[in-house]
Amino acid sequence: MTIFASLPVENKEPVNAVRDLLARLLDTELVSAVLVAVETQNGRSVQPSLIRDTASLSRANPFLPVMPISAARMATFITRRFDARGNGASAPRIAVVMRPCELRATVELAKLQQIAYEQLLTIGIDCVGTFEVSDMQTEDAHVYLEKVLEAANHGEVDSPNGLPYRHACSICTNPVAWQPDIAVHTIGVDNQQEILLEVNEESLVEKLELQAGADATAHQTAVQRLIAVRQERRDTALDTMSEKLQMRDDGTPGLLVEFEDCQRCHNCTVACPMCYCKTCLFRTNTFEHEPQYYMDVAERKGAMRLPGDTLTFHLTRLAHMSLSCIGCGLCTSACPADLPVDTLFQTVARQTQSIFDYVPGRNLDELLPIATFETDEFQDLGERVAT
Amino acid sequence: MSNNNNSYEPRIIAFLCNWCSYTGADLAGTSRMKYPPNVYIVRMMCSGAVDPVYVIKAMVEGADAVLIAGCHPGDCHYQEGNYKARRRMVLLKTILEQTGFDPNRVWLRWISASEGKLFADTINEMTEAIRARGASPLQQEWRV
Repeated sequence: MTIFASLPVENKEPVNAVRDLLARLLDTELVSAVLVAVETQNGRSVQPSLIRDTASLSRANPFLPVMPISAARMATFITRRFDARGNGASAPRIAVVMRPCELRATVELAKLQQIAYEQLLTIGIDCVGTFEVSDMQTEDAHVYLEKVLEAANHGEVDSPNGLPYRHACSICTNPVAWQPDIAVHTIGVDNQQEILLEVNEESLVEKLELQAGADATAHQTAVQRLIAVRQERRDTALDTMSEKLQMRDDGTPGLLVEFEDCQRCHNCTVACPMCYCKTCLFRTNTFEHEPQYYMDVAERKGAMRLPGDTLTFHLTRLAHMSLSCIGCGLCTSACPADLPVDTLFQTVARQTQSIFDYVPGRNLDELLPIATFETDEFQDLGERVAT
Repeated sequence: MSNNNNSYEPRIIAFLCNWCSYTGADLAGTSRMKYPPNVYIVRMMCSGAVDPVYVIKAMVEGADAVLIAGCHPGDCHYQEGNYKARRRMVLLKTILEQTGFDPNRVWLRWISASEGKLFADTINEMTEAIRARGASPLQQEWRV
């Protein structure tokens, strides 16, 4: 049952209204802790932090338009580890304040048994876009805070002040979280005066003393309009990348041409919330070959680019996690060569996800496609009757 | 390189499941069936144990084709490994196709332990098909 409620904003400080809401969650003991973005002292960024004392909420700021790291990864640290029976229910409840892409990653990680989802009270923040943290080194992120909230109010597609959003944000079609326990809406809402809450758990309305019955029409209209424009841009961006990835006339894979300047530093893997494997093949010495191997390859092919195995690296990552790629774009932000890693992944993921009609982060009950199968599918592949 | 040349001898890497396809290959041999020597066999315990990275590494390093063969659907020694292999190969072929590789150089076939002839026929068919396609464009590619 979805209930819309208006959260009043005083002194044009919407972030204070959210801090107050989080304090109420802690005071009423609905949750034992809150995971939320907290401003760094230099004012340029935020870091996800686990807060148990309401006084420590004073620097919490989930609206600051930067996302240096996915809080989904943090949720893997703070929820109970699964035992053999997949049991995690008796652990304390923790509120997590997340952007839509972080929540989608959280759902995927829960499917992979990295997060005990039932422990979480999910709070989804509307997000029209975030900036690169590196762009904030010369600017105080607060300068952008108010402008981005205003852009959200008007449902604007582009960044309000010339500095572009991160590329993944500029083609993101999910500015609103899917079915969190509480959604904090700022899009299409006069967020200097009020915030629109969407509560999916009836008992929360009473316990948090919210006033049910707010009008969500303007918000929904603004979101639909924003999504429509972003969808067009997304299609264009992914179609363009798909074109570039095609095999060249001489047979060279487009992936090699577009990613030839990859140094295989693995930063994208470290930044990716879906790359959770503790025993990642690329963190082992599997691809540190014997010296003779390099000599042999160079002899066979005439030369060998070092460190090598870059195509193998990207294709393996695509095979391992493109189905769960939620399009947060942190891989691109982490790339020292500014390669369009997220565009590559989202382009391939568009195809791989559509084969299995799979949308990562949509529903906790949807099984990961490679964790299941149908007995009578893809029969054109492999099945030849003996003659 | 001898592209599109009728005399070109392709190199095919085959991942065969221990219980069905490898035994099928063995039967082809003990039955003295003839098939081309272009196939390099790697015995796996199950087609479901073929990590996509094995196929990727072979393709990237310039193998002309890769064959993955396992028990027929419903006959997996481990109940469902071949169903999982099928999903993985659908996924992998899609990724290869999307990134500019030739997905038709990756084949999946079900060959039982009693189908020695099917194994020999498959290798014949594959060798002819890949010979017609010519050498992998990645064979001499050193920037991978």
